[in-house]
Amino acid sequence: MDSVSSYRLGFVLSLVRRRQYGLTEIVPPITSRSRSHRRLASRLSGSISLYSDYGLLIFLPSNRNPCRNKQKMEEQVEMVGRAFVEHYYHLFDTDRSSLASLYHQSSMLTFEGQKLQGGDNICSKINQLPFDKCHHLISTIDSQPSSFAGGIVVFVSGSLRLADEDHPLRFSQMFHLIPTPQGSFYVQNDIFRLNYG
Amino acid sequence: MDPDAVAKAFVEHYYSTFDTNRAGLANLYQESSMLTFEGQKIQGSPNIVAKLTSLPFQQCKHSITTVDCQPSGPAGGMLVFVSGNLQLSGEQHALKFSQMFHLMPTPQSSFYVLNDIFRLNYA
Repeated sequence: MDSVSSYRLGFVLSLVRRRQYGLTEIVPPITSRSRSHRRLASRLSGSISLYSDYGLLIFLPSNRNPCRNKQKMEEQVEMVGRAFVEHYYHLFDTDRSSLASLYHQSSMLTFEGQKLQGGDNICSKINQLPFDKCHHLISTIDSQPSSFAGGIVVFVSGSLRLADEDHPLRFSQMFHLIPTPQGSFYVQNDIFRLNYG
Repeated sequence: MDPDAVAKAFVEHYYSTFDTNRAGLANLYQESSMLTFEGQKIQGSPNIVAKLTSLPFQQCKHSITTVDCQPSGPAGGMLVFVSGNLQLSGEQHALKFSQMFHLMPTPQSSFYVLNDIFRLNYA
């Protein structure tokens, strides 16, 4: 992903985090710029729309006051979790080496029991996985705030289809995301397990 | 103490309590604890224990296949990622599940569960 696109996505994620708007709804990425989608966008007054590599993301402000109540916070945590998961697996499936931007020196990955630390080691491991092309299909995403000044734990399950393989593999993965000063998130903890049987 | 050993001890304690005395899980959760159980969100120890004790089966047995853990940050927290099987009494086939816990240290040198997410793994 080029730096402009990752800036845009970082901006999108930071909008979700910053509570300037009471966000009530996020319209899923629209990849076609059809007329009906443009009509939808124009009907949403006061919305922010942003084109990223994944199409059009629209944020709907419910009012101009900072949201305070618990339900809104839960929704925002969920939105960040979903946005992160889509971003992560899209990068994994299309440009694995660019995952490096999501890990720091302190990051940890446990991949099928093997422990790795540091962005460099983690990215080497991911880049060396014994397949060229793959596609992740996500079944469930659960997110909760982790209590570290805006940290979020995200629990994912889904299936992983490798090119030339008939049957997809099922997997579960958890991420612990920590906010960065620039308004984005990095992966502090990452644990991946295949689900057999 | 070795973090892997702590995680393993916690997991054994948690599931044996679950399988023999579900209400006894109450002291592993606090007011701030959060559980997401198959997508349903619950907060606070009394609500969490109410949910777990009202699950629609009397007896169950968890068998744990994998336990992975990592420290979660400077506050001494620990992330524990578990997968295994859940056998319900009267059911022929065991259910597969994955669960993650975020444990936080207590002043009494124990741990409580701050975050808990449970999902069944369907084939």
